[in-house]
Amino acid sequence: MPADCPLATPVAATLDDGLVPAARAGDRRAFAALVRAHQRTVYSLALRALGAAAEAEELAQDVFVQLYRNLEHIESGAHLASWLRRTAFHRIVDALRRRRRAPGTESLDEASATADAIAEEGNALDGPAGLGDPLLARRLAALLATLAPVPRLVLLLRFQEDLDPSDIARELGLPINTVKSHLKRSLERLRTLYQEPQSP
Amino acid sequence: MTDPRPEDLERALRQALRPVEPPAGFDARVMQATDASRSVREHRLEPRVRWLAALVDYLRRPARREPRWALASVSAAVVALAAAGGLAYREHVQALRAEQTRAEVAEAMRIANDKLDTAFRLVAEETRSESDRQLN
Amino acid sequence: MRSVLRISLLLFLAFPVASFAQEGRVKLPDFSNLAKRATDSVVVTLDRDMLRSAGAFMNKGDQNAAASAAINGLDGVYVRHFTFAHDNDYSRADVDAILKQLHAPVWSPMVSVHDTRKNEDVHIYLCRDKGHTKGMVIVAAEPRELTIVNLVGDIDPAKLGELGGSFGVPSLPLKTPHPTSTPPRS
Repeated sequence: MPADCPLATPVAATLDDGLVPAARAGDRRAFAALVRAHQRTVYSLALRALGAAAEAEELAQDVFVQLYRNLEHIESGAHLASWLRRTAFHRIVDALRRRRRAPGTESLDEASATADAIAEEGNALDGPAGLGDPLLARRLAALLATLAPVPRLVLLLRFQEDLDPSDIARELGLPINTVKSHLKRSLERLRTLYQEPQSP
Repeated sequence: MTDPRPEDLERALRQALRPVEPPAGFDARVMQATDASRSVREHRLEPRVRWLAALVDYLRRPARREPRWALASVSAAVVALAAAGGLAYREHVQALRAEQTRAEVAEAMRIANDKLDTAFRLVAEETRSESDRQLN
Repeated sequence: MRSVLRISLLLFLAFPVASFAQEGRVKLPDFSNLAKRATDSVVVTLDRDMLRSAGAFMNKGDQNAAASAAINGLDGVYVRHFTFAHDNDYSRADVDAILKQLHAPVWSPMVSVHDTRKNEDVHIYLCRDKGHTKGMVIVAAEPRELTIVNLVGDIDPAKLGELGGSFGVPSLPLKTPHPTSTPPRS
């Protein structure tokens, strides 16, 4: 792979396996390629958790600067992806705690304002190419914002990153039953708030 | 306006939560931020010495017949530019060091504020527990 | 004569600790072994000379006058922050070595809290000398994070949030916490 090839789409861990050693050795272009490969994940986690684009971008930037300082600890492409999610998770939880909200949350009105902020950034809710229903997405984003920080992030890792509960538990250092419990309760809460009939 | 109701909440969540790109130029801003955290010793002189090296190479080229006045003026320019370049380099190094210090102080303040917040949270929780115990 | 010698010896032995304490600074252990075990570490060591040089340079037309003023007000910034992959990957003895220094008379505890359930300890001490604040130490021991922050200079914890704001750190509306009756863990 040419060193100057821009990687506009997320790369598989195996491709990262080639970039990580190069970045560790000081290759700035390799590091920039890693940033481009993973920026969507980190930024999206922050945006959906914090609800403010500027704050999300700042947090995402901090995560990558921290990665730059800790490249020697990254062993492989798979480890890199896991490290980024875990680091983003901790920083997001710190940021949400600093907001001094009581556990469990924003009111629905505040959450709606959060969802509006996300929607104004364009394509934030329904993804690229305008696929999906923006109204539905906005509603879901508002409901997501009513969850406490850790359950919110567990839900994001499940449905944004498509991680299994066992992967989430391992990455975040949480017991698997805790992860499953967060997912179950969060989905129940979302379903209740959305007034959707329970599926049998 | 009626909220649409998804048939499958989980499918709707996956659709709604697909990753999105950060604002344009995000990767460039990250690279700038990592530049500030780089050690001053990693600072490369290449941009500054490249033109100087090219000039020295020019002067060293064999079998060029240049008028003496051209050589003398170029030599004087080299000396003057080297002095100016040296001064500019020192200022550039100082700027890098100042920026690195600033970045380190910012990180220290972030960590200190974070741990102060942890302390206040624990104190608040303890106070709340104590109040609950007294009420019961 | 012997008692005079003994007293002098005690004073001599006490002097290094006292001199550190009077400066508002604590002696930080060598955490290199800890850093090897950590998944992330932040080490900041900025003494007065480094801070003054940076502050002087930033004063030259720097747009962030507040940041340069903040730097100029500090005499030292020392941070050791480690994150670990698993609970209790570090020894609390590392923390005790620092807490012992804070038992010196010039150090006053502002906050000492311990959460048994989460196994989190946070201690905040101020060094005061003749009515002036000389330094501040924050020691936070959490299951997967160990943090020591030593700010040397005339630090007002209530203004720490504003200080952070000068560097783009979110300013926090800090309230001075009330000391608790929870004794510090030793």
